[in-house]
Amino acid sequence: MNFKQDRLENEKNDPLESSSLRYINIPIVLIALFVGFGVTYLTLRTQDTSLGLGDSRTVPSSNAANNSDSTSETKDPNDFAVLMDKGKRVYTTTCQACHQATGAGVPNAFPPLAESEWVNGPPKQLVAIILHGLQGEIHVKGQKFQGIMPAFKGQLTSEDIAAVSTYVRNSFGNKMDLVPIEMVDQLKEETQSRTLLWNGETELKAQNWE
Amino acid sequence: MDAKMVFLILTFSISVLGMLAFVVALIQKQVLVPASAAKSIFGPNELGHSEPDSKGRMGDQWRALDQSAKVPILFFIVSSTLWLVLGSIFGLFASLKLHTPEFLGTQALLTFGKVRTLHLNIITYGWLSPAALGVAMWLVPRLTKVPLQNVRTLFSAGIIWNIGVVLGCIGILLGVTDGLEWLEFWWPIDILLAVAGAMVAIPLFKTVYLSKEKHLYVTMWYTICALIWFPVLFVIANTHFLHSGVQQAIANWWFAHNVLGLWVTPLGLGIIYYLLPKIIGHPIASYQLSLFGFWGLALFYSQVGMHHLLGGPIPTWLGNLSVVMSAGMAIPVITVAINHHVSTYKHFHVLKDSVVLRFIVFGAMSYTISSLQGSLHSLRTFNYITHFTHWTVSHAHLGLYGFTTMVLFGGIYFALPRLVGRNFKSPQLLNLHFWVASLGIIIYAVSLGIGGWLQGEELRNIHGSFEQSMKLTVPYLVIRSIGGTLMLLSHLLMLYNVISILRSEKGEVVK
Repeated sequence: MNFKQDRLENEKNDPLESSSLRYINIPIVLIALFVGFGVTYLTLRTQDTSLGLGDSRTVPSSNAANNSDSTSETKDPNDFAVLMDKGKRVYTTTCQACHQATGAGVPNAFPPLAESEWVNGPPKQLVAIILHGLQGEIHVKGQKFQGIMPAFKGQLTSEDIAAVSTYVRNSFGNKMDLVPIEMVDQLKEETQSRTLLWNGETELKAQNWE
Repeated sequence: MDAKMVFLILTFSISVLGMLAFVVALIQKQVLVPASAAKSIFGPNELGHSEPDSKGRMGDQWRALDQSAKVPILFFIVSSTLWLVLGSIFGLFASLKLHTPEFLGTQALLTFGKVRTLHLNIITYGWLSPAALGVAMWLVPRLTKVPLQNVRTLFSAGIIWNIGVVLGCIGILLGVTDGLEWLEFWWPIDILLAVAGAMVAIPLFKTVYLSKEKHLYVTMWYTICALIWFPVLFVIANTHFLHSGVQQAIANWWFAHNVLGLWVTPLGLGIIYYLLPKIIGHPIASYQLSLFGFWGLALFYSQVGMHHLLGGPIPTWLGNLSVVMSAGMAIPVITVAINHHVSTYKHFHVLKDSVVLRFIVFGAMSYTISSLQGSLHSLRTFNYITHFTHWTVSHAHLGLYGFTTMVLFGGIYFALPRLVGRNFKSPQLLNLHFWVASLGIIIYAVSLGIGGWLQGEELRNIHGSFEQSMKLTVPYLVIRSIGGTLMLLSHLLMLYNVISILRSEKGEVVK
C-alpha cells in the first residue's frame, strides 16, 4: 500500500522529482565508455596466451623450461642439429615474447626475424646485437623501428648465443650457415670493454663485421 | 570454450548489465524511492539551515536517539583513538628506519619487520574498524528513528574486538603470526574478531528491523552491506587451509584490497553521505545517483585486488579481469564525486563555520583523487612503473588517511558533543587538529608519490642500478617522516580533545 502511494507521489509534478534524476545520464555515458574499454582490453590482452598460465608466459616456454638440458654430451657442440635443438629452446624462453613464435615480430614494436636483412647478414653482426643489445632507429624489411632490445651477454652463455643465432638464421624461412661457438667467444673478447647498447643502425653499419 | 574464458566474460558482463539494469530501473522509476528520501535526515526546521559546530543544535528528537547507546559508542571512539596514537607511533618508527636504519636498530622487538606490521594491523583493526563502526552505529538510530537495540551486545563486541587486537599485537611482537600481509594476526585470535564483528551486526539488524523509516537512507545501505561483506572476507581469507601457493597469494590480495573497498570505504562513504548534507543543511545533489554509486561499488570492487599481483605468476586472465574492473571503479567513483562535490560547491561558505565539515570535505576530495589514481595505476602501463615502489604506500595513505581517517575525525567530532551533551571547551584545538593533520597527509602523499615514481623510473632504467633506485628515494623518505610527525602530533591533539570533552563538567551545555 505504502509503495503505491509513493509511486503516485512520484508521478506528480513534484519539484523535487524533476531534480532527483539529475545527472543520471552521466553513468550511462560512463558505462558505455567502460564497455568499449573492457571489451577492447580483454580481447587484445587475452589472445595468444594460454589462459591458465602466468603473465606473459606461453606454453612452449614452460615446456622448454621443464625439459632442461638433456642433449647428449658426446656430440660435437658445433654440430648443426645440436645447435638447432638448443637454439629453439633458448628462443622460446628468451626471444619469443617479443619476436613471436613465427619470427614475424610485432608491427611498430618488435622487428621481424623472418627474412630480415640483419639476421641473414654477417653472422658477427647478429651475435653483436644479441650480446650488447640495441637501442634507437633501425630499418628492417623497409619498416622503421624505434625501440630497445636488452643486452643478453650476462644472461646467455656463448653456447646459448651461438645456438640461438644458428636457430634464427635457419628458421622462419631463413636458410644460412651455422654460427660456431668460437665466433661468439671471439666477439666477446673483441668487445669486452663495451657497456652500452648499440646505438641504432647507424653504429651497426659503421662496424666491419668480416 | 575454456571454462576460465567463460568466467571472465560472465564476470565482466554481469557487472556491466547489473549497472545498466539499475540505471534503467531508476529512469523508469521502478526503484521505489520516496520523493522525500534525500530529506529524511533532516528534522523539522533543519532543512535549509546549516549546522555550524559552535551551536550544536540538538533538538529533543535527536537527543534520545543520539544517547541510546552512549556507553558502547564512547568505548569504540576512545579505544580507537588510543590505538590511533599507538599505531602512528609505530608508523613513524617504521618511516624513520627507512632513512636512518640505526634508529632503534639494536632493539629486537622494534625491528622494521615488526613495527611496520604493527602499524598496519593497529591502524586497520585497532583504529579504522572500531572507529568507523562506532560512528556508523551512532548514526543508525538517527537514520531509523529507533533507539539502538541490544546495546550490551554492542558493548561486549567492542571489548572482545579490543582484546583480539591486543592479543594479535602481542603475537606480532613475539613473532606468532600467520605470515600474510594484512592477515598477520594469528588465526585463533581472528576468531575473536570474527565473533565481535558478528556481535556488532546483531544490534544493527535488530534496529533496522524495527526502523520507522519506509526507505533506508543511502548511508544505511553502505553500513549494512559493509557488515555483511567484511565477515565473509575475513573468515574466508583467514581459513588458511583452503588456499596454498599462488592461490594463497590471490586470496591474500583479494582480502587486503577488499578490506579497503568493501569495509572501510563503504563505512566512510556512508558517514560522508550523512554528515555532508546534514551540516550544509541541504540534501545531496542527486539522491538517485548515490544509490547507483553504491551498487557500482558492490558490483565492481571484489575483482579489483588482483592488480597487486600483476607481473607475478597468476593467470593472465585474472590479471586482465582485475585491470578492467579497477578501471571500471571509475564509474561509481565519478558518480559519488559528483554528488559530494556539487553538494559542497553550492554551499562552500559553510566551511567557515564548521571544522567537522572541513574534515568531511577533505575526506571526500581525497576519496575522489585516490580512487581515480587507483584506477589509473592498475593499468599495466602505469603499473609497470609504480609497482614495487613507494608510490603504492603514498596511494594507500591517501585513501586510508586522507579519505577514511579524516572522515572519521569529522564523524567523531560531530558525534562526541551530542553523545556527552557538552560542547568542546576549545573548538580552536579542533581546527588546529584539522590543519596539522591535513598538512601532514599532503606532505606525506606528495613527497612519497614523487619519490615512488622516480624510484620506479630508475628500477626500469636498464643502465641504472638497484642501489641507485634506493638512494634517490632518501630525501623523499625524510620529507615523508616530517609529514608523518605532523600526523602523529595531530593525533595527540585529538587524544587531548577527546579526553577533555569527557572530563569537562563545566563545558557549555548543548541545547
